[in-house]
Amino acid sequence: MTAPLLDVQNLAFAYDGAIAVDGVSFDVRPGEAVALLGANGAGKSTTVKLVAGVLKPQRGRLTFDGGDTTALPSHAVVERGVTLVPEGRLVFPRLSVIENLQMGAYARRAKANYAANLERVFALFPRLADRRSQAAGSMSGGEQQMVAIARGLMSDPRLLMLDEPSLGLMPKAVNELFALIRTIRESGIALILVEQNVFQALEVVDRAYVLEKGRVTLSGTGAELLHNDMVRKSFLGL
Amino acid sequence: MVRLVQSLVDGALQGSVLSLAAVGFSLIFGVLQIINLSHGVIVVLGAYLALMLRRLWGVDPLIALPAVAAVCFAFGYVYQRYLISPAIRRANLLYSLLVTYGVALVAQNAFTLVFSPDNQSIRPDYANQFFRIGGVTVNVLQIIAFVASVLLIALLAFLLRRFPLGRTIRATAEQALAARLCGVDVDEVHALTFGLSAAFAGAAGVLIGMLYPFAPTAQENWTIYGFVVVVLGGAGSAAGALLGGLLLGIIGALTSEYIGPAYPNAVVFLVLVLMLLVKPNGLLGSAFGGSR
Amino acid sequence: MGRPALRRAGAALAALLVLAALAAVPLHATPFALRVVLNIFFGAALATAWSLLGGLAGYWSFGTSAFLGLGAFTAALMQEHGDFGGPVARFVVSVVAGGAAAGALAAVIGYPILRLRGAYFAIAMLGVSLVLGELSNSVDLFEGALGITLDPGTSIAPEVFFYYLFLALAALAFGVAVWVRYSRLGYGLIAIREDEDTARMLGVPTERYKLTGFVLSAVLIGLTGAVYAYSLGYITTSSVFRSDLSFNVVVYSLLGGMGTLIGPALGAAVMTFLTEVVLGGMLQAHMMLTGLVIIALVFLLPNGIVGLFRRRRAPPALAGAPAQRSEQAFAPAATAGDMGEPILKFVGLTRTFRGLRAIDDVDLAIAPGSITTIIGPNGAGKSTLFNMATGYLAPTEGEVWYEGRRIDGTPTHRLNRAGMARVFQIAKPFHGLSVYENVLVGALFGRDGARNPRKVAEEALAFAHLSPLAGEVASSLPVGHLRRLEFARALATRPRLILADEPCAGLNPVETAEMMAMLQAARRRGATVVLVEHDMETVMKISDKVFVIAAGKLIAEGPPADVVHRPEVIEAYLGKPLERLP
Repeated sequence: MTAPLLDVQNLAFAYDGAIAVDGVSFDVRPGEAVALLGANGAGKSTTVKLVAGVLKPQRGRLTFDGGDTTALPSHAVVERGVTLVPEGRLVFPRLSVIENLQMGAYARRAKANYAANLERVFALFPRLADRRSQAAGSMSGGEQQMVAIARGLMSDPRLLMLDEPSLGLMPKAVNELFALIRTIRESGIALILVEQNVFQALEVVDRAYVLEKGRVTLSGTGAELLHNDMVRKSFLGL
Repeated sequence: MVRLVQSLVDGALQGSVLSLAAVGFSLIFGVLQIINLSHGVIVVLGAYLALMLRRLWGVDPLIALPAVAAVCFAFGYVYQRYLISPAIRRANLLYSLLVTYGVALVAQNAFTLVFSPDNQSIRPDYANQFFRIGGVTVNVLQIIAFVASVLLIALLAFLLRRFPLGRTIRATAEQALAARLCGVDVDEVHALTFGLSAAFAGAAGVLIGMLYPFAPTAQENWTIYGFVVVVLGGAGSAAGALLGGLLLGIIGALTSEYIGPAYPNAVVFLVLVLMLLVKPNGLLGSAFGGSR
Repeated sequence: MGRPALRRAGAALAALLVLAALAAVPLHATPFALRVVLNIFFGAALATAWSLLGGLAGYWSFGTSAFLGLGAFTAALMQEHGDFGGPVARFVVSVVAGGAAAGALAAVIGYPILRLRGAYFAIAMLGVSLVLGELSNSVDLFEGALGITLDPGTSIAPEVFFYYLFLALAALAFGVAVWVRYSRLGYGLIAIREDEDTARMLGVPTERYKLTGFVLSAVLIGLTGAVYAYSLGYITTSSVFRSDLSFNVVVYSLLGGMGTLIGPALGAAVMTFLTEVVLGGMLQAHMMLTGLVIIALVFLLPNGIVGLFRRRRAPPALAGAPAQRSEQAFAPAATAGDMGEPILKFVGLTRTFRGLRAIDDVDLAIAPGSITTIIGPNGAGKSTLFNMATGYLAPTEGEVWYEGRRIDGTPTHRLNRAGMARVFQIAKPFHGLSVYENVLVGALFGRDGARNPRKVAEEALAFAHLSPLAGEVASSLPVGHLRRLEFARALATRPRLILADEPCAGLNPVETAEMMAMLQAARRRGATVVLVEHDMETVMKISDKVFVIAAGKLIAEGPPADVVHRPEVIEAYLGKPLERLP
């Protein structure tokens, strides 16, 4: 049994009195893809923000690659190899595609592999290679999602977290997105996927956790959860 | 005709220094979305620092300029990182108004206590030489100040466009959370930006102190001119600040010459209001996307 | 007598008692104490008046001294050159003139200047005050440089006389503030502060309301300026066109509690007390300490003094307990026009942005009482269509028809009055207001306001299953609930046509099913619904008709089962044919 790459123990966080995460524990093994599922407000986004160091946990422990990252600020977490692609893409609108990618390679670890990563990213996203000087804000939702994920890959992560990447995308783009996620998995990068698109998410990940009201209520492999009654009723509407 | 050209030249020369004095305010407003009501005291601080250096060690203000800029940079960095940023975190962005207002109040009165409320000057002796070029009279010091201002602003523009730090500042201004997620220490970037702003303000203060008499009460004007430049030229860009400052200087000089020496401020403020009604983002627009 | 009425009577009684106590002060206090309290009233009057626009509507002016100085100079010039009979008449006329002049200025510059927002509005007002100050100094007519003397010609001791005058001004300002706060105007101004564009879309007459607040504020400040001039006895430009006063009123409001009724007065009291009593003495030292105190207060009182006693920022204005029981029916949307006629029609609609044809010659008709979905790739132009329908954008070519009338180019708020509502993908609730208050704004202003807004609000809440959350502050709600809040608020405007932008985005299947049920329920009550959606399950289940827009053109239309099998639709949008989920 390989040691987990990311080990989350008993994480807790409340926004101004409103409890968002209430004792969440899970782990991600090296190269594994894990999904976090749940209704809106269940605490999924908050959880990945806590892992990324954007929010400071009020309780609990975060261990990444053997090192304690609980109190680390976000820029240090990126330096360790954990990158979050946020909900809503959040590209730099007036910067060009290439400048967005250069910002992605801001961390020292990323600068070391800049050329190789850039090549990889352009191979994965040929459309971006064609439009590298275009201002990111002028692109469509699907293209911006590509820029955001490419930017995330430029930081040379060992663990990549995607928060609702399919939000607002048309069905065709969603299919392309999940194909892309499969490819990223194959390159050995561990993944955490926060998704509402439960069916497609469960098909692409190794394991998944279900969050309800800030707690983990169910976990298992992708296949197990696809056949689980509660999941089918609550999330697949079946 | 000569009269017109003289006014334009005077205006441009004065305006260049105004640009330098305001570019920091513009940067802060564009990048951090803060209205720094203590901007003027940093300008005046630059003048007083140069004054002290001359009194204590006889240093010529131009030589002192880099040192003054460095001190102001350090001050700005610490000020943003350890006072303004915590205040905003504690309350909200608008409270930066209160904090900077408080600091301005403290600083202006501190200057009055330490240096007296009287006018001071660090006008060097070589300032009293004049050139005549085709009927237009120009003062040596004005030329020096013009060249220094334009060079410094060009330096800032170069920094923002070409250097990675500049790209980082632009990215942080557009989307701070995304910058954070790229590994940017946003607090550090904000502090550096503020430091830069303060350095330019202080440098301008040295030049201003050489050109005109200054007193603690002048600080309010320099903050207000910061507003005017932002409105005229556009927030957040060196080019905007240069354009805004030049316009401000030229409008002031033309008004003084053709309407009367008591009117430049009135006309400038009127132009400010009209500009806001017509093109509030300034002639060159806001460099970081209209965040109104 | 109901509970709210009892509370109001209690508050009024308390206010009268305070007034009486304050009126009795001159009988016992030293001249110094009188001066201090007088200055508090002065500051309180100015700050409370400022807060009508600044605190309620969020339009911070840095130009209070414009109205103060204008009021002062008008009164002074009237006093000097006017001829109204006895000194009392002259005094009264001059003061009133001061207020009127300030009000007139506000009325004249208000319309253009209130189009600016945030920092730009603040700077513009500062500019106005600076211009006026300079003019009063340079233009001889105003005698600002030389100065004008004023004398009210009363035999009452000046400190007592002006004490009562400033007390009256402060009470007047406070009275006006209370009256505005609990009126429809007040609610509209608060909505403007929270989200002006959304407020306008819900039917709040934003420009008229802002102007009203601005003028009221100006008149009060002008009156105060006039009395201030008399209290000084001799005025010059620099004695009344004071930028520091302009900033002080902002400081008082922030300190006391921005947007509250008593906050500005509290802030004025604390700051005046600090500077004049505690720190009186050497001017520079006390000014420095004032600055330090301001900085300290930012850290100690981030929500102002009032914030210490309150958790939420804005308490309910029109107090009323939300309904406990769930209402079955909400105010029905009256159907208008001929049932056969499309409720919304695009004819040859085209819109270009800098040469790019975002919408290209689209013809589309929506049947009344139907649920229609528009699908298509991102960037295909679907939002642009909605924007043209709701008056956000004007078409480059073509026409938009609504209920048999041509509406392209009509401004958004007028379309709201005509029964159109739009619900955005990114929910824009009024964050500082409760769920109930959010919906109430819709009921108060939608289509010129319901006859019984509270009932409509309660019913809309019940319809969206939000009644148990009525008292919660909107900012604390998760995304799914915010969507429902958007809907409830839109429904409270009693629309006949609802345009919804991706209402199911980011919702899981359970929440999506709830949203679908709500849309169908709205249709049952007579509303027409037009959706933009990507969630194909929703599209298939509830649409009567589907339109497909790709690259700005209409490429397919018809019943959903039909449309999703067309090859061009699969190619452009679906990627692969729709399959049933396991």
